[in-house]
Amino acid sequence: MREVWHRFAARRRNLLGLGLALLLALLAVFADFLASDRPIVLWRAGTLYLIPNLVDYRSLRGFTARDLGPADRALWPPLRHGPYTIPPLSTLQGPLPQPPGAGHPLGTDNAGRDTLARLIHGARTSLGIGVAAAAAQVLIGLVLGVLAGYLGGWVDRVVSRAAEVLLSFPLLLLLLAAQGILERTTLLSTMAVIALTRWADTSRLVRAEALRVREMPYVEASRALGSSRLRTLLVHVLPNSLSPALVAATLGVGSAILLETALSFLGFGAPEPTASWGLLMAHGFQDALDPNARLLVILPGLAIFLAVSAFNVIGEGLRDALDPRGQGAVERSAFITSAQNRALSPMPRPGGCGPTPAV
Amino acid sequence: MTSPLRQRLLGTIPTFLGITFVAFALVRAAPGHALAFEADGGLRQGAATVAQWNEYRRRMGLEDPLLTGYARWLTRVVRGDLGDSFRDGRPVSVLLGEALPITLLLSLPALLLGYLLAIPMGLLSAARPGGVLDRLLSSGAFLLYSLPVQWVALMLVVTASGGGLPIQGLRTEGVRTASDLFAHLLLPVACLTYGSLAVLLRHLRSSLMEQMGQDYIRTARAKGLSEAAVLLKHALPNSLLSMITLFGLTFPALASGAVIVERIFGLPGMGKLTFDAVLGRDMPVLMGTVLVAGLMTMLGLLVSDLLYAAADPRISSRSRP
Repeated sequence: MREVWHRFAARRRNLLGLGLALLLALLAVFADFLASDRPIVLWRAGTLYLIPNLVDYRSLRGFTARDLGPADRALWPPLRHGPYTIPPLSTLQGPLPQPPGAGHPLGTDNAGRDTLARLIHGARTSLGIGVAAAAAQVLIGLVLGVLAGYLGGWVDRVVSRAAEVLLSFPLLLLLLAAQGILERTTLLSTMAVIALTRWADTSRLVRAEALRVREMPYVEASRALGSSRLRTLLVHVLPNSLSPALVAATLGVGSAILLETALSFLGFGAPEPTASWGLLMAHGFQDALDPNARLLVILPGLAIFLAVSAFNVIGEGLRDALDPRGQGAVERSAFITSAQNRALSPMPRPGGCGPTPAV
Repeated sequence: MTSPLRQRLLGTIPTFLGITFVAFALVRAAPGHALAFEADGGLRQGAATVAQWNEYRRRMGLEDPLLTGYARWLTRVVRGDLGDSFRDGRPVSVLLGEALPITLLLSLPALLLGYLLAIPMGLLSAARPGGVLDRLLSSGAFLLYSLPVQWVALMLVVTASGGGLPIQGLRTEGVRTASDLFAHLLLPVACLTYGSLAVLLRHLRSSLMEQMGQDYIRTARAKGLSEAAVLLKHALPNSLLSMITLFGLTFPALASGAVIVERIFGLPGMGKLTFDAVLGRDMPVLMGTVLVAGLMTMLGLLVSDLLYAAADPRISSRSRP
């Protein structure tokens, strides 16, 4: 493990990616402390409210900064706008979306919501869905892949066929169709459809690894010593097949973020009015030719780009670190290496072990 | 012993059944009750749609038990009957036939351009691995992977709207010249190209690098060939072989229509058809596009495998282990 970390840390690019991912994760976790229309601590009319930005106090319903009396004290987050605060019409100056100005450092969207606040809270949506979908997808893929590789036989045939069928559909199209037949899309359904369509990549990689591990002397030794198949599977095959799953998980976060934002952009991902980078871009798209809406398109796009490339960099770095010689463990390029020896057989996707392009 | 070719062809049968089953399951699972349609925003008359929906379900075997329904549905689909669109009552096959050429008009040039750009770039990369140019190109391709396509498309729209390039549709009203069509295709094709370029470049580079480590390259160098000749005459042909297979893999994704690109640029291809079908809950059309996309991928893989076998005599003469 130490060795892997050293190889990983030896490249500055990897550390940069890791730093960026951590920064975004912090942003996602502490979004309410960075941008909220409620204070972090409030002393009002003789009562002390702790973190009203997180806790919904009944007596504070409908509270705004204007209600603050002269004797009240409040500790505000750096940005005093929540992602969902729509200002009352009477306070609006000029047409929406507003350009960057004193109140709104990055302007507003066409409902008057603060762009910066929505960007910060968007990190939570995108990273949350990305990580959850990748985790679920890898869990499914890991279990099915190990079972298929280790047990072989009909289990292998069924899993491999199912994976192949799933890989036969262009991702976005399948996701769109799946979300489209639902009565309404939610964050959970977005996560679920991504995980349910993406596990095939992982299962394929893990299966290949389990096939390799199965032939290892230590597996034979374990069987010879009288361990049951289940014990051998859990104690020897599974832990040794983990590295491709780990890489697939990291790269999966990147592709899940791309897919979530693409779906949200089309209106079939995060439901309105969630602060999602994809939805923000959709709002910008509505008035793409209005110069005031430009930031609404540019910034979420940059945020997506940064997040996705951070996870892709980590994934690739992890792959190289886990498998320095580029043989066995994690296929360098599942596609090219196998192409040489591969007789006519069902084919893996090119992006098998690389980041998935967004087309 | 069966020949690998026959085995490969037989292998597509379960995949075909799987793909069609997914499409079938998708429509079957779709909520058909009136509520789903009345909640539709009153765009269409709810009752008529529900009648259409019930008629469609009965006709396509969606009411029958799962397996008999599937069998009945499959026989209809194989005969080319995909049902009629709920929206305008036209047969789904006709709608697909109209959308497919437009998507091909976008994706074929994009794929071709991808190859044309990737090959010289890959060669430059492999000529001096680790050099400045290689690092620049590799990280460039890597970054392209992470770019959200909706962002690229919107940025192009924003920049182009200032430069006088058309950003909507296929043609200017009333103009039917080739140059007008070309101008309309420029931006969407550019959007589609960058994605395939990233995939192709990465794979060509790693394939070239792998070839350059092989024994026959050492032999070629030993007999005094220049580095350029080694790369072009020995490594490249072998790498191109593996690029053939990529064709089959990249093409279907493009042919199924880039939903986002077609939506942003307002092009009536497969992607837009799918999107509109999802939006209007036009189940027959949605089922049709999903089916076509899946089958295109299956055929793409098959064709590229066959091409690969044709190009590499080792495979056609050897059976699968």
